Amino acid sequence: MFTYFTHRVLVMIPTLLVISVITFIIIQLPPGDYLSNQMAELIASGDRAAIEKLAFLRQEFGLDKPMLEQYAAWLGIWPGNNGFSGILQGNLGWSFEYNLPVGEVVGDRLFLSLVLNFTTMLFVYAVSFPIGVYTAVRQYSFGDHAMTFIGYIGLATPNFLLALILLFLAKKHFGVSIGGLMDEQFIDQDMSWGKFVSICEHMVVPVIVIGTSGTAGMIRRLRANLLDELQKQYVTTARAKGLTNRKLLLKYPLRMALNPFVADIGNLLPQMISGSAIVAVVMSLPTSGPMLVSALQSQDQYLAGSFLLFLAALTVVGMFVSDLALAALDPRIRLGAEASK
Amino acid sequence: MNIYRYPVKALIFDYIRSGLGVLVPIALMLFTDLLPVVFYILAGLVLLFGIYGVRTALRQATLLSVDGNGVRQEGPLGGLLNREIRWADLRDFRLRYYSTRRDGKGGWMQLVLRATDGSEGHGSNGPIRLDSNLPGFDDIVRQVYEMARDHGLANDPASAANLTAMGLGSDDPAVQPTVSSPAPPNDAALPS
Repeated sequence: MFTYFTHRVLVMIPTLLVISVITFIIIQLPPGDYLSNQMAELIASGDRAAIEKLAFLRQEFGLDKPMLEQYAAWLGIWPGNNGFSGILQGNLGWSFEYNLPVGEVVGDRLFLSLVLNFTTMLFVYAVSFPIGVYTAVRQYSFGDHAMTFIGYIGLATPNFLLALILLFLAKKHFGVSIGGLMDEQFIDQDMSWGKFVSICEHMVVPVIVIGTSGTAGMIRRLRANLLDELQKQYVTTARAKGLTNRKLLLKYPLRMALNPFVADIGNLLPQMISGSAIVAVVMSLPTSGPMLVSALQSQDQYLAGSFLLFLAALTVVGMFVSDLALAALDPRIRLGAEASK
Repeated sequence: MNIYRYPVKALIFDYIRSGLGVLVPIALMLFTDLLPVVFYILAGLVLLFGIYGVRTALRQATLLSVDGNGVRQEGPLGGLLNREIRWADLRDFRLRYYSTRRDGKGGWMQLVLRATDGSEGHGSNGPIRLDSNLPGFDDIVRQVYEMARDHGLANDPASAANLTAMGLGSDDPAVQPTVSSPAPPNDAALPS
C-alpha cells in the first residue's frame, strides 16, 4: 500500500501541473486580455493618462512577455518583475476587474466553497449509505418503494427549483433570511460564535439542494450493487452455515458493494462544484461559482486562473482519496486489466 | 531451494521515482521563496520519497529463499529485516493488485504472507511482502497457493480474483467465494 501511495502521489503532482498549464492556456486563448480590452475602449475615448497607466500595468504584470514566462511567473517557479512572487509564494496575482490582489478579492469565498462542498459530500454519504443498504436488504418493502420514489424525485427535480422552494419554507417556518451563507450583519466580520451559527443555519438549504441529486444517484447505485452481491452463491452458502444476517452483510457483500460508492468520491466533488455554481447564483451564495463566471467573462485571467486551479486541485485530491480508499478496500485486478507479472 | 532477489533492472524505475520525488521538491525549496505551508508540503514529499528510496535499496539487498519448508527473507541491517515463515505456520496470504491508471492496466501485484503468532518469533515480527517485479514471482505465488490449498486456507475475494487472473484456483471452490460454486468443504473457506 505504501508503494501504491507513493506512486499515486507521483502521478498526482504532474497531473496538477498539467492542469495548471491547461488552465493558463485556456484563459489566454481568447484574443487580447483584460487590459487590452480596456485600452481599446480608452483609445476610443481618447483618455491619454489612462492609456499610459494601462501600458504601465501591462509591463508591471508581465502581460507583454511570452506565455510560458507568464505561466512560470504566475506559478512562482520563475522570477517576475518582483522576483519569485507566484502561487507557490501565496500570491494569487492581481484582479484587473476589482483592481485588488486576487487574495483579497477572493477573501472567504474559496474557504466557504470548500466548507459548503465538503459538508454536502458528508450529507450525501451520511444519507445515502443507510438508505441504500436498507432498500437493498428490504427489497420491495414499503420502505424500499418509498425511498425509491423520493430518490426519483430527487433526481428529477432541478436544483434551482428545489432551492427556491426550500428558501421559501426556511424563511416561513424557521425565519432564516433568504440568500447568502450568513446574516448580513456578519458579512466582512471576523469569525465569532454568532457568525458560525448563522453560517450553519444558512448552509442547511444549499447543502440539501446541492446534495439531493447526488444522494439519489448514490442510493440507486449502492442498492443495485448490494442486491447484486446478495444474490451470489457465497451468501447463500454462508446463510446455510448459520451466519447471522448482520454479520454476513458486513463481512463481504457490503464491502464489495462499497467499491463504486467509494470510487464516486472523485467524481462527486467536481459534479457538486459545477452544480453548486448555478445554485450559488440562484441563492446569492458568496462562494466561488458566481465570481468565477464573472472572471471568465471579463478575462480577468489571474482571478479566473486561481479559481480554476483551486477547483482542479480539489478534484485531483478527491480522486486521490477515492483511489486510495478503493485500493485499500478492493485491490483486485479488473476485467481486461493485466498485471505486469 | 530456490533463491530470488530483486535485480537493479527491476528496481530502476523505483530509483528514478525516488530521485525525482526528492530532487524536484528540494530544488524548489532551495531556489525559490515559498509559502510556509507549501514548504512543509514539499518537505513531506522529500521525506516520503526518501523513505521510498531507502526501502527500494533495502529490497535490492534482500534475498528470498523458498523451499519445501517455507519462505525465508534475509535482509541487511543486521538481520532486522529477516523473516521466516514455515508452510505449516502459514496463517494468511493475500494477493493484491494495484494500478495507478484509471483503466486498471499497467499495475503490479503484491503477495503478503503472514504466519501464526508463534512462527513470527523466528527472527521476525512481521509479514513477508513481495512485489511482482521480483523475477520468479509467479512461481512463488503458485507454490504459496498450493501450500495454502493443502492446508485449507481461504482467500478473501480480492485475492481469489487475482489468483484467477494468474490462472490459479479457477476450478477451486475454496478460493472462489464470489462465483457460483458448490459449498466449500470446510468452515475455513466461509466468510465468518
